[in-house]
Amino acid sequence: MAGLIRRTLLKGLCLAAFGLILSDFGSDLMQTRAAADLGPAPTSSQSLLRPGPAGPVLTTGDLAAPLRTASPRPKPRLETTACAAILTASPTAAALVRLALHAPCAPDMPATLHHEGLSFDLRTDAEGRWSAEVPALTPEAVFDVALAGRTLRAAASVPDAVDYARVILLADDSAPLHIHALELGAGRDSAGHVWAGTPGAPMRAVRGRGGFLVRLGDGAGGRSAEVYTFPAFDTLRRGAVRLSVEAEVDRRFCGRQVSGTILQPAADGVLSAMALAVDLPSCASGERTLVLKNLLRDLKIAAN
Amino acid sequence: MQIPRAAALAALFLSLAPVAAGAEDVTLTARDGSLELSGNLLSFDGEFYRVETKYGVLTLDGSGVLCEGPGCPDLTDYVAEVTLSGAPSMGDVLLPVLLESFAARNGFTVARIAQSDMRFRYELSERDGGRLAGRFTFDLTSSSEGFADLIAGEADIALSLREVTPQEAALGREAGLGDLNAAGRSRIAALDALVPLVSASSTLTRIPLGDLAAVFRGEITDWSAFGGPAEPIELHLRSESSGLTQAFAQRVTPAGALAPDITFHDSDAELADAVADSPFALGVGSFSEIGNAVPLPISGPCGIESAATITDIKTEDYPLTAPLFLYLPGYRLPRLVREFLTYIGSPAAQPVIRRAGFVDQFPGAIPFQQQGARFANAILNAGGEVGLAELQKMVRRLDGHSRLTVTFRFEGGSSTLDAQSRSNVALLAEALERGVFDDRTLLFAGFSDGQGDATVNRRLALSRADTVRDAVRIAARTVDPSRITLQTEAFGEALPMACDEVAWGREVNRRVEVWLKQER
Repeated sequence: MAGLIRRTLLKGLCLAAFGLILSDFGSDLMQTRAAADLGPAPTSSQSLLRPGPAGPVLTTGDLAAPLRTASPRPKPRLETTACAAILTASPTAAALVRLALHAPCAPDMPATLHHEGLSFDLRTDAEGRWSAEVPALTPEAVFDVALAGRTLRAAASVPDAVDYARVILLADDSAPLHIHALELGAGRDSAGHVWAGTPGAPMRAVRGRGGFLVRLGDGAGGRSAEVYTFPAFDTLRRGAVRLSVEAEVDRRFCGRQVSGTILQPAADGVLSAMALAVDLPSCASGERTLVLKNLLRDLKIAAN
Repeated sequence: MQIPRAAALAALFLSLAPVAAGAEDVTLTARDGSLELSGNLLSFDGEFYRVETKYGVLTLDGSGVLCEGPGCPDLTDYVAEVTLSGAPSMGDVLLPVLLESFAARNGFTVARIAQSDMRFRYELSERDGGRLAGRFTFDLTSSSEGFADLIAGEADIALSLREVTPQEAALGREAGLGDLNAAGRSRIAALDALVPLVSASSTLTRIPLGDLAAVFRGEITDWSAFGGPAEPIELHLRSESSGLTQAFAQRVTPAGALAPDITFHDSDAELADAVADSPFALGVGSFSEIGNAVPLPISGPCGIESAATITDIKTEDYPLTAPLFLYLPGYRLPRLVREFLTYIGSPAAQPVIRRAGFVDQFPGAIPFQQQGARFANAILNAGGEVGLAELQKMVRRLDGHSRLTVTFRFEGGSSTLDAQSRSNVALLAEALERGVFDDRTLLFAGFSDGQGDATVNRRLALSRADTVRDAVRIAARTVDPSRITLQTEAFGEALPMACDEVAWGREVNRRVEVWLKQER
């Protein structure tokens, strides 16, 4: 089986210039082959992620097994070619990849994206479309969208993925957790304070001026993701990017434990996942924000 | 077979701890029924029961006995528990990174459950099956609080940036903790250093240690004293209960109180950021957390400078090194915790320590060719009692050798090795035991300060070199002496690392270096 997949994979690679995938929802067999055709399976040497508690690393073997996606509706019947779902992946700037999903027969459907340890919940619109710019964590980036019990896969070649340091916070169940970055001595609310409120543009990173933040997920109660990116090639300036996680403690969340996952470079530089739970202050404490400065390790930039 | 072992252990661990009255909640019975003990279970580490009985506190090997009673632990779902309390400088980054890499290497997944930056715990679960195997609770306050918690029994391990004080050691003895100064009760997890910090826009590029002391005692208050603008110097230190500040006070400003208007910070990062923010700030922070500030080398009156670099912290050629100590309890820690402690000292953990921004203790080699600056200092400071012949003799003897980073220094003028050097004895002995230096020759080279008669100094240096070599030889119990040659030599005051005019410089200069003869 693995050999077959590898052979079909090689055959299919030439089609994968932009990582376009057509998947027929009607047939399990077709689905498996389609996924195997185009998705260069992450090998252990390519994979930037160690298997962590909440970070599934998809391998070829996983593809045959349906991914667990809670679907509130009966499975749509997508048997005609008009129902073929398409996922495309096109690299843009700062090692981002524009993902576009079109599943005409799956409008307003929940789905989950998986890319290395990064994962978040999304929802297709009334026409079955969804798109977003997602950071590539590996030069040969493979993106899987689990939709209605099927997996769509698209791949993109992003050689500059290695030029950027990424730190990722996955928040479960709308947990009010956010990344804040204070770049190279910047104060709060100054130009170098990057967070969901002032996320910065990817061109900042391309020009080596600073980092930017991408927020992913539909924000409708599932898992969301924040990815902070800082250019690793910026060697003209020395110093530290202070990273913290802030929790907004409002009436919905006070006194509760919220959970998520953090992905950050381990001591060997490899992105590593760790499950996270935060006990938020009690409602009586009156604290509105909990700042956790040591969950994410500061990025230390050494000048050359 | 099991019974004598359990009985022997019981006798061995019999201690004089007071016996509290109370219901006896466990009965431990030898598997053949020949021994029965009842008491209150104090702890179970997955292997050993600690029970408070009418005979005192006994420790029994769990494999030899059966436990009955309401206090018996669940043997299949045992979770190793440990509480670490003390210095945030150790618990913020270093220990979490080490714990995460230990977990990854040993097949555990990690979850961090945080209440705040000061209080959090790590849960290690088996990757296969998900069984919870260990719970590491962190309570980060200060070195002093860490010792207080250890003494009060609220923590199992104290994290400290300084050694235990005589008062703390006395309190520990009273509390039944035994001798915290004893070998094996503390170990050095990694090295750090105190560094003077200024902002990038400051004009100061070096500072004499005496001036640094004068500034923090309030005797120098204005930048004009350093040729800068007529602006007051803004002073920054870590909070007074911090081990870093206590080490600074002990080593830099031992006489006299600190200046009145110092800003104290709760973390190394906060201090570095505050200093980076103001062109008129001067702070003393840690090497591992320079942040956006700029570290200053320490200069001496003779022109020799000491900068905090990884090599110079390892060799203690930099005067303000700060070892990071773990103080352990008198009782056995759970096996998982002991394995973690072993991992911290293992070669595998040293790169992790380095990438976390700290200085590891892995002995490195500095080639003869990279000794240029040191030999230049020697030539500049030669003359008088150290003549050309003396220098040539030294260079001839050391040629063809590499200097190892393990260096030995002594506590304030005594012949007692300092904490970092005691740790170095164990590290070097362990390397010898592993066979790293089999069939090689190590030269223990003694050096002295330049005060007093050169002949006397050389004799003193040789006796220190002999002392260190003997200590290493005794510590390396399992090494085959025929496989390795350990020589001693003394060069007296010939190769100064710092200026002899000041006390800290003389302390840096009194040392025993270890040189490895290169293979032909």
